[in-house]
Amino acid sequence: MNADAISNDLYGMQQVLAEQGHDVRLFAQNSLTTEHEIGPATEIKNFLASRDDLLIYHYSMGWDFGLDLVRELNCRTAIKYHNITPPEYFVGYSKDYENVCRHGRLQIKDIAQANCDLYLSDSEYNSWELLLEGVDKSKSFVVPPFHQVDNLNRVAPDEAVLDSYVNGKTNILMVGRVAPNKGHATLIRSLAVYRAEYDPDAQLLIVGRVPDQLETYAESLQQLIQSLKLEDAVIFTGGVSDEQLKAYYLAADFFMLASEHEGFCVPLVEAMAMKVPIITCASSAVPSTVGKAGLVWKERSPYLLAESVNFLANDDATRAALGVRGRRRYERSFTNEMIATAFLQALASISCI
Amino acid sequence: MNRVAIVVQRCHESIVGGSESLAWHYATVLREIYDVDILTTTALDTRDWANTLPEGRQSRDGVTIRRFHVTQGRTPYWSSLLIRLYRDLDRVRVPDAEPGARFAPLPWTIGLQEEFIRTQGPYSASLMRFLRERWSDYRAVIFTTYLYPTTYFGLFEVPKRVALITPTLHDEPTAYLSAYKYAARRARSAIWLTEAERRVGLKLWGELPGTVVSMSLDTATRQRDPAREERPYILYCGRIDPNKGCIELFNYFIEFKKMHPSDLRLVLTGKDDIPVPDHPDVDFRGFVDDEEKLRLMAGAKLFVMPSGNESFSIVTLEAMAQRAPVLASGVTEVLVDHINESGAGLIYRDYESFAGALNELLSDEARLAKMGEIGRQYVMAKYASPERVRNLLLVAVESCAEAISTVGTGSL
Repeated sequence: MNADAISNDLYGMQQVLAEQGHDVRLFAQNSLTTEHEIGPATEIKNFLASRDDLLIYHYSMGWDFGLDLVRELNCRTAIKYHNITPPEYFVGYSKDYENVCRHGRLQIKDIAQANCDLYLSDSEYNSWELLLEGVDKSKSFVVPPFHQVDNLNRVAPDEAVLDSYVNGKTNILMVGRVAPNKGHATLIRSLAVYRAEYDPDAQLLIVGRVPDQLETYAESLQQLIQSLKLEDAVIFTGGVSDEQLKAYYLAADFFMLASEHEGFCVPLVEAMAMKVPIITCASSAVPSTVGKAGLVWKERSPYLLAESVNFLANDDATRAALGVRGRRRYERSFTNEMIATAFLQALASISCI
Repeated sequence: MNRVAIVVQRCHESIVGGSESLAWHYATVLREIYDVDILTTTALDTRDWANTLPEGRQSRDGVTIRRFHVTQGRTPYWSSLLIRLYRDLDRVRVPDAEPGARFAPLPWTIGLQEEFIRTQGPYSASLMRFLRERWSDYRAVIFTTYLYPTTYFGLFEVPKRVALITPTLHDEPTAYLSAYKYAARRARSAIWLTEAERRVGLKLWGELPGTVVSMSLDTATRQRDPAREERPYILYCGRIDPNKGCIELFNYFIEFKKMHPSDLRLVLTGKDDIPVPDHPDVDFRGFVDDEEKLRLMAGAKLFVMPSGNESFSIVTLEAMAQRAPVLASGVTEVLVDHINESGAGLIYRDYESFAGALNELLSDEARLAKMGEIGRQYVMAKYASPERVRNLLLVAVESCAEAISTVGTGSL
């Protein structure tokens, strides 16, 4: 099963550091993977015994144990800040998510003032949040998350997905977990406008799992879909394999994202690497990830998004050129090689490599 | 800076292939003016593009060949994509359409098309890096043949102003992938082999700046070897491959012999990618050197070209230069043009027209001799002058060197 963005960042860091000859181990409070060896967080203190050791804490939610670690450990410490979804998005859907996000956002100040040796951020947007909470600029580095694009390039796409969706219908793709900050309702409304005005066969493919406890959010989307009579046009795939994910990207005419909050958004990088033209709205970290390689609108309007699809659908050359711009942005800014260089440079600033 | 690069998928003296011959021809024509580098891969075999030759530099006849490792060869996975392509193209086929308009737009995204192009091979990451980092060493980079990743992805690595493309385009299913159209537009201009090719390009890709440069051939006459070749024969030279129409040729010839017994043979030279039928009148010679090939052409009753996938057909013109009349498949516009313009042969479209043409020509020695002569005159008039090719190439290369626009490399 395709791993989530933070896990991929973790594995990428592990690989780069192991290649440098370091003994790298992964720890977590809970782990679902069997492919990677993940130790219980309680053993971290035993592993990091020397002052020259380094803890990299991937910070993406409220976790007292994590905060205590960075405060108490005698070794060097680095934060990798993935951002934390504001809790308001989860109100009415999940009390647990709401609490853990509220807790996480309240901890940003504590993390920022824990005087860690390094503060790595996925994006400029994330780094600004830390700087505003008092992180010293000299300790702050933007290091985009490692990702699995190389793997997507390598694997063969799932044939059944290609059979189902490479069929002449316009496919609009969204990739990401089905969570309330991701703006799915806007995507669904955009599809309704586009189908009504221009292309009654167009479909929206929503790739990503529905996290436990967010079923009510998914149900609310289903109600919207029914009210707009889009039952056959919006497809929720659930979690997918790498092969399936690749096939969805290859079948996609457009990548559309209407997220209201993103700390980086790895699927944008995947879409750029796969030359899928991007249509999105400027919120949080999205503009800095997309750069000039997509259509990025200030307003989050279903009409604007639908018109964008129509414009590009009727202009092959611009559509192809946008794909090329995306690929070039990926090659110049976001390859794993480049991320490794940025990561190692940041570590070198504290003589850690 | 007096260097020109020519990018081609393979380069080795043992290779029988039109675009490879063209790349080498342009290299030898240009070497008197420029230092010419051929940028290619270590592959020899089109079936898998395996890394066979050593990586690195080699000098041959005053041309530098730089070979780069293949990172993506051809695998069964690509074959499954090819089957998918044919199946999906079949759904958008336009009946009775002319070349360049046989299929409506295919609903394949650029991503899926590029997956097809890349896994077709040969894709070389190190060649791409070399182009990205070293293009400014060259006055021009000439990408030879549109089809392969060396050209397709290479065009994204160099600025438009230094990129020239020799498409060697013809009306084949893959030419309908729109990704190729956008790639071709990344070149400053196109170098066409024939007017027919340019017409197909216009239909498939739209208007592109470019010139019909063509190529020059070895036209010195050879003598047939009467001692070795007592029995009359018709000749085919080239890859023995279904894409070259060889299966139809075998079937038609064997059927013809059944219906019209005689001592006529079918002689074939080249690489057998499919088995040659075991038949007493089918004589497969394998790979022969150029001299032997031209001697065989000089001695042939007819040269037969069954391929529907030709953008120029070097061997057909070489045979014409040796006074061999031509019996050609009418599928490819360029062959029809060669025959119609010269009058040096006949076209067939099915078994009946194949057998009819063969009977008609073989029974009239005087007509055969006349056709042979006008075929030679046609080639001498159009394809005998390396100076003409050199001058036209020189204009194309120098237009790159003089260009000041830098479209295609703007930063994001």
